[in-house]
Amino acid sequence: MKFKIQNMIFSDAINNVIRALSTKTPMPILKSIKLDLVNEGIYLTASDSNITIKQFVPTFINDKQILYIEEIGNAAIPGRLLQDVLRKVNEEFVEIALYEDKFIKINFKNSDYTLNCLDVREYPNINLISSNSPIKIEVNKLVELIRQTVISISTNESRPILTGVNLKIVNNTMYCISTDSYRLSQKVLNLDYELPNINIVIPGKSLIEFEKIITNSNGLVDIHLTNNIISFKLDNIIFQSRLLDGTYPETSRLIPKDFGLIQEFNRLELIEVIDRVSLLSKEGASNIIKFDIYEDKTIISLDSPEIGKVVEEIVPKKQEGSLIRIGFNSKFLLDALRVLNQENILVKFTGEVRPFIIKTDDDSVTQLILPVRIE
Amino acid sequence: MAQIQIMSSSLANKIAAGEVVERPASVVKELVENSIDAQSTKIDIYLEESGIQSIKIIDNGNGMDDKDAILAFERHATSKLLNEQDLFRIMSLGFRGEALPSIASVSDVHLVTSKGDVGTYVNFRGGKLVKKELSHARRGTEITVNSLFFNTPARLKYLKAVNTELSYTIDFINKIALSHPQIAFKLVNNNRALLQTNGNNNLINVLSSLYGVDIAKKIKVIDYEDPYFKFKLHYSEPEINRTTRNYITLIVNDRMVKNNELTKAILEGYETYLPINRYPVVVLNLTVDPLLVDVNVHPAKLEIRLSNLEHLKTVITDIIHKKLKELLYVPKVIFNTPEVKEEVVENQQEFDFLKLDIKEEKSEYSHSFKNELNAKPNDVNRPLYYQENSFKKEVYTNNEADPIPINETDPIVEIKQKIPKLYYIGQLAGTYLLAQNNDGLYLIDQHAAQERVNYEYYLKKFSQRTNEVYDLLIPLTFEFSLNEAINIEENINNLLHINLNVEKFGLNSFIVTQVPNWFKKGNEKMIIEDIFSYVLANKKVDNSILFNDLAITLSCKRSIKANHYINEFEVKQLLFDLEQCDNPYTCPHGRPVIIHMSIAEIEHLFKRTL
Repeated sequence: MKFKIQNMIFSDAINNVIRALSTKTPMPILKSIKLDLVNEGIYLTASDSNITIKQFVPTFINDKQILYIEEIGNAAIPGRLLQDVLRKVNEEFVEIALYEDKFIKINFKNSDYTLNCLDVREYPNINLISSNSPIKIEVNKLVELIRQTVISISTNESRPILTGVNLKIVNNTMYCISTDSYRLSQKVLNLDYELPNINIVIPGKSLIEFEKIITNSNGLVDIHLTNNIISFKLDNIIFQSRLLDGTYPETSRLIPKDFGLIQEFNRLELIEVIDRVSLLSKEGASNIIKFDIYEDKTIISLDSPEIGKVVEEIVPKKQEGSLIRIGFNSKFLLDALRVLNQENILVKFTGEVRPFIIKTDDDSVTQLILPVRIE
Repeated sequence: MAQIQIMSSSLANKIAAGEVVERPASVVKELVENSIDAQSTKIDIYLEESGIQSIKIIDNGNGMDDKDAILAFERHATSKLLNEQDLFRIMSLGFRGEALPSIASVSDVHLVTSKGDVGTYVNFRGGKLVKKELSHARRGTEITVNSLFFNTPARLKYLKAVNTELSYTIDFINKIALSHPQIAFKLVNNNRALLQTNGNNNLINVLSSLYGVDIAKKIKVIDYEDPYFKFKLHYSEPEINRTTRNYITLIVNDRMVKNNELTKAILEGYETYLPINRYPVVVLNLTVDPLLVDVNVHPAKLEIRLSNLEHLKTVITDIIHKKLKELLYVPKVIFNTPEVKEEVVENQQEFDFLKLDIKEEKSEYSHSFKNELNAKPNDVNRPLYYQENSFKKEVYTNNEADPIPINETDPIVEIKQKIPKLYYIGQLAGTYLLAQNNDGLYLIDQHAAQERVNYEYYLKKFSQRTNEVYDLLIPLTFEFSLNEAINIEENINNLLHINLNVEKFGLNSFIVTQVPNWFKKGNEKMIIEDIFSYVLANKKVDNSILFNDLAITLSCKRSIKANHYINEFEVKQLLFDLEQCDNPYTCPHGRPVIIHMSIAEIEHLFKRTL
């Protein structure tokens, strides 16, 4: 295998696939990126056996040749090292060649790097799935969907199923739900084409990585599904992840429908206040802020015995319903507010010890937060 | 007249009973083993008051005829060994011929047995035949043991609470059911069915009915065979782990045994796959030539001696290790777990510290130094003092040192005394503060000192916000074995004091619907498991114990580190704060904060005095 490639394009591709690279693994080969050089271009693959990312770089991009192939073939190159070396190269092109099946030479200008590498034949055969009728969704919609739901996934493996986002399609409506049992995010999209009903749980970490890869792209993402694998395809990138095993808890009854009090706030103004108040909720200290809701104003306070107290006043744009006093984790509210896009938000309360929800004009998204009960 | 006499058989039986019949669970054990040796396929155990009032065991085994029914109660009467050679190839569970006479000597036994033709009923009370008559002819044996220990009041008195005795029995039935999946067991206490296995020879099914479906789903099986032995090993994936070793079951030739060496071999196989102090669920079913096993070590026959043990240990460790490594390749395993695991470890250790810390309020620093100095005057590099308990947790550079005995003559007032007024001299190596007063030189570890100050501060502050709770959107579920479940059920109300709302959810599982706010988010399950293991170890759980964990972490993080210059004003403040502490002598991890060298000791070192 021997080729010359435009460094910037090659590095971009490496930066994408490297998100799937294992850092700690009993299989050293998974610390390598696999390169497959064919006549039409080069495939890059990285996998940690949870996530697999494969990207294709063609010989020509916009009629400009960016890849010169001398000899086709394949190789497995230590991923992090390759990324680090190429990142520090200023030349436009680099030349990469495999010697004796165990050395990779990277050449540019007057430099010559020889890296040890493992035998590519050890690289596990990773099955990339595809189906005839993929779900199609616009990139920007998918990015928003991921951002608005992954905030509520659980980050601890003690309940693995909650580390994922539940994706359900029921009668052409798509529900995406996540919860760590203190808060819940739900996004509902109406699909304008026929799809079979599904109910799967996608690892939240996979979605977070995928979102980073596609965030600046546009177009349509194809989603392929099998029993235990989900695969996203956008342009030349295939992103495949295993699904979580198990049954996601039923959450529909958790979201309240009747509200005793509804407040409307300017979103950025509320973020600013909560952010400031939360300064007193450093690690270990109490992070519980209280809303004392009066007719004309709402008093937001935080009392952290180890640090001190803060009291701020905010006047909602609109308010309707009976007055309450409620305490909850400030971080949950901030997370929820930050992933919403609209100028104004509605906070809908049911009671002092009942979950409340945050809505916007965009009815598709619901953020639910569980208050703290004072015994 | 000769003073030595052969003791009467009833006396000998009572003495044997002392070894074999310790509690209701041991009666159940002996009788169930008899039923198994009689080739039963169905064994029902009915208890009243956990067996203290009555134990009834019904099997469908071979049964006995009327002569055997009487003979069985004679000491050393057995159908299982006929000659001395048999002792070296024991394939039956019992063989000593002691159990039945021993049980009969301390209780009221009713036996109905039949080989299928004629039935016999006999009744022994206190070891004496009271009644014998014909009875119905159902094949098998029904034996009822009433009023256990009625004639040995001392034994009766030392029985534990009803539920504790029951949990011993359940534990035994769990294990015996695991070693005999081909037999259908049923255990009933006070008319309540506690466990039931279906006897279809599928160990996974038994595991599922004993430990819950969630565990059974994660059980894998290995078969191994070589010229010396063969075994079938059921082992859990590392994600299933427990706080006790009780879930490791060893079965040798269908006999449930205990063997530390084998347990160690299994745990070594799991090494690095399980967090510290966590144990797997394992059933090892070993078949060896009976000639290679000696079960006649103790009357309870729990201990065994095995030939070729070293070879077996290596095989077990290697095979488990290999299989677990293979498991890692299966996409099921999450590659980021090491972070989580570290958390677990930290958590665990600190939970351990609590125990130590609470007991270790006293310190005898100022007094111990002299003893030690006298003992090894030349060894000035060794730590000057430490406490025996903290010593086990902390890695000291010279851990060969012996713990210092507490000086009995120390006046108790000294212990409660605050640190004396100190005059600052200077800082050593950016880490230790030197101070003096009339009594001599004091060395203070600045990090440990501030840690102690912070720790007491946080502990006080935390108790002010103990009452914030969450009603979880998705409750947490926990599964236990039945004996553990019974213990936990008793303590549900106690857990409410720490704002943990536990509800029973089926026979041996619980759901937690409410947790305090201060639980680290995501770690609830681990924290609650630790709390449950506290409960199971009969320890009292209260907030101060639990906060300790959090306070220790925080106080350590927020203290000045070693190799950090502090000026005199800061030192004065630190010393002042330390004087206010309840226990200024140790940091929350149990390491010393302050070390004292008296003038006399220094003079001694310089050989000014002898």
